[in-house]
Amino acid sequence: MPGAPDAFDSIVTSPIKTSPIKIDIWSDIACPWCYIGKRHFEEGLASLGEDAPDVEIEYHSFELSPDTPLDFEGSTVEYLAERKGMPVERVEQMLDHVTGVAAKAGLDYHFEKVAHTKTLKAHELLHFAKAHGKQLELKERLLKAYFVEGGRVNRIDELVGFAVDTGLDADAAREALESGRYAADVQADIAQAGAYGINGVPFFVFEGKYGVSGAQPAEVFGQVLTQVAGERDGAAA
Amino acid sequence: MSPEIEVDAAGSAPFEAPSSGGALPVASGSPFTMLPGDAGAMVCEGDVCFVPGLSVE
Repeated sequence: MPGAPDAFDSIVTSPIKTSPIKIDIWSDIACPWCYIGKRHFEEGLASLGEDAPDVEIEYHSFELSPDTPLDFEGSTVEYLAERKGMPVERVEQMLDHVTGVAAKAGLDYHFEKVAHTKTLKAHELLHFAKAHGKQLELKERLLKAYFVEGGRVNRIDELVGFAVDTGLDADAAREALESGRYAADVQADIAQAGAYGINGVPFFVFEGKYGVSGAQPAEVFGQVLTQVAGERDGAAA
Repeated sequence: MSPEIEVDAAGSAPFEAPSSGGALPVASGSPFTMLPGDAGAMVCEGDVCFVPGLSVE
């Protein structure tokens, strides 16, 4: 093709580049430790500075509690006390502890605002966002909406608003949610988790090979990234 | 939403083997090589969040 760069020349003259490390993360919206783990992962990656490898992150759907009512009108304390039969004081202690850990991660949790609901529609929107290159932005937006702002992450009108916040098209987002176009993708993610034996979240998979479970400290994620990058670079040498 | 049931983080160093009873929260047959990391890291399952391997109330 006239004027087109020669493919061979481009290979010879371009600097050697390694592909980004692929990280698949199973996570739910209604999961306090998923948000904390997300922050820890980001801190671990940032802590590597110039040595930080390029990464490609993909979030996968996981529904922690399928029997959650679509709209629970009570408080978090009531929700947990009723469902687990735990004393209110004990629930309050636990929430205070999680709030404290979140604060150390830079997250301003407000459990008194949390609106308990099913998260499947939010997961559908995450798949829509992935198809439009905005999944990471939307994941952050939804977690913030749920734990910080008390957003209703099951209601289409609110979800469309969160989508718009991340630069997605409102009409397209609404159509995707109303049609349920991504519902099968959500179920496929959940089924894949089951096939992998993933029982709890957050769950991180590096390069389709290494599994890391839980909201690990930032230094753990930094070490894992260093290890995986080292193995990859060693294999490429 | 998920509360935490067990808050006694083990505080072990990264990549240490899980403390006694610290079973990894993934079923046998997993295709992944599990890196244990901090045995006190919290996970959420169903309605509860806990440290894997420690008893829940």
